[in-house]
Amino acid sequence: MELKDKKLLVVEDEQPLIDIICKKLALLGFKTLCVGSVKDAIKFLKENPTIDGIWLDHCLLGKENGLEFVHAVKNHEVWKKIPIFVVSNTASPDKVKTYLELGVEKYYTKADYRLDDILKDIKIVLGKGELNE
Amino acid sequence: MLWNWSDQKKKNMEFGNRKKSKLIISPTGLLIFLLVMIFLIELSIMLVLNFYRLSRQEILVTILDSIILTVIFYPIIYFLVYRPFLMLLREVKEKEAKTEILATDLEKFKMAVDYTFDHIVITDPDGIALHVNHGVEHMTGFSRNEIIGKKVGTKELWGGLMGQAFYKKFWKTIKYDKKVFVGEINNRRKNGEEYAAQISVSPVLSKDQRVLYFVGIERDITEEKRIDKAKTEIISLASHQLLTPLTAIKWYVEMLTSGDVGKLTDNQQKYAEEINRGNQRMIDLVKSLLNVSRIELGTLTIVPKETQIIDIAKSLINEFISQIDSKKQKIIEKYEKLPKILIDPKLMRMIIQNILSNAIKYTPEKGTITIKIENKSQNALITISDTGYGIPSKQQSQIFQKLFRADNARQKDTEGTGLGLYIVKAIVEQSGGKIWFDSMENKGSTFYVTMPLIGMVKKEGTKFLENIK
Repeated sequence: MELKDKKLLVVEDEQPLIDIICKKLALLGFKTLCVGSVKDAIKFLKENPTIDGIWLDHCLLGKENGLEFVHAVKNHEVWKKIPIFVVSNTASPDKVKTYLELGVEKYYTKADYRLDDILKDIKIVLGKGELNE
Repeated sequence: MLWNWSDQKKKNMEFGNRKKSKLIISPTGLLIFLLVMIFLIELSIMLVLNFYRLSRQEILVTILDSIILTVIFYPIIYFLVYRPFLMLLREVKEKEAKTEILATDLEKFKMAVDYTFDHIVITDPDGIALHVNHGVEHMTGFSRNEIIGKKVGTKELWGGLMGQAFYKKFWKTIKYDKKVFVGEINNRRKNGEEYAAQISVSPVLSKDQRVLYFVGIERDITEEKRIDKAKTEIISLASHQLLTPLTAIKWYVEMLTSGDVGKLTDNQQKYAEEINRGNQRMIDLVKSLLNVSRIELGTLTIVPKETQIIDIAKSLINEFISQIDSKKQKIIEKYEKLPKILIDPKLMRMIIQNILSNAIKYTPEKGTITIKIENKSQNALITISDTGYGIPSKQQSQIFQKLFRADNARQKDTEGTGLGLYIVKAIVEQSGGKIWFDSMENKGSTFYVTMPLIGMVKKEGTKFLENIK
């Protein structure tokens, strides 16, 4: 699986988590960019529509949350093909359901998963594989 | 005989005096009056007779005659006319007094119903409003006149917001089952404002079990619900705020121990793993507290699906296999044929996982754990037994309490939260099942869980429970 030069957008508002996530992704060979709000994420996508994947938190800076971001992405002709991995600590049943219905790859509750496990899945999907539930 | 009469008369007169001294005419007065009257009448007759010049003998007879008449006449009048008359009067007075008491009581109850702040409606067997109190006018915004004569619970008045199924169940309970209906309902005031209410509607039955009236009581619980919602949101927020730094620690330690930021010495590795363990305990505790709060706030969601319990058991054993093997424990599985049951698989998994995890944790090396699933016609019976440390008999009654851990468990393993069995018991019971156990210290424990084959009832909550490994 050629991961070199695969680009990932990380949308996360907590600084310590941004640092560790980007560090881990970089160690595995991904190129990453981190933004903290939906506004910034949309701006980034407009300039870089060809990214390979998105790591998305639910609670973000600014007014909009992750759900609204996914709505925007999935309604866009080009962006809708980008796989989205939602990694959040707020896990209300309706939210999880809505995210999955909108077509995100998987919903992870942060405190339940090791970084390694989440990245294993990202590697599979970006290598054009399929995740089995 | 005369003697008898006078004796009785005396008694009656005394009796009469005692009892009727408060009544209209004093008996002594009447007696004297009558005596005098009769005597005078007799005397006048005598005077008349005088015209005919009665003999002395005849005069004496006449006087005697009048005395005898008086002595006989008065008692007769007394017994046949005066006394019955007075008794009748007394009865009438008593009846009046009773009616007055009843009227005062009725007035009291009417006032109590009318002025109580709670909403009380009385309807006929078809739900047409017969009487409404001030509480109804205050809570719904409709006036008495707008309500009486109309059917309660419809869009015309303050109801009609719940679905068909709700009203169907409601009428079935009060009209056909003739039982009290208690529940939560959403209604709408005259000004359009929606509110949440706790209602209880009771049928009033005649002696032959026919419905005479319905009495409906409503309590506005909008404020209570708002407070509850605020509580839940605080817990949600708190847990989110807590889990974020815990996640940061988790991932940073992961990077350290996996060598991603340089190799660690043996000691550094050990210490880092210790940090990880402590951190994981905190994460588990926060998630358990979240679960407890969801159970206690009643926001637990139950989503029943056709589930095979045996598959869940097998999958869990798979998950635990490394722990079982490292402790060189033996696991025996005995499964009877069991149909799929309509239960929430996530909750069922939590139940078995918790008990199984306890069995493994609290059994020493080389011990045996047995899991049995049996079909007991009405229920599925899950039995998990171990040859472990057991629960001291003095502490057995506390085992399902929040945050309780038996002394021997605390000694052997410092990491439990004491919330697991509390949560499991709550889930089991909310799903319609039962849980109990047998245990002997240093011999082992056996936990039993039954789950009705008819399945769990779907419960609309707002939260799922957190999975704790």
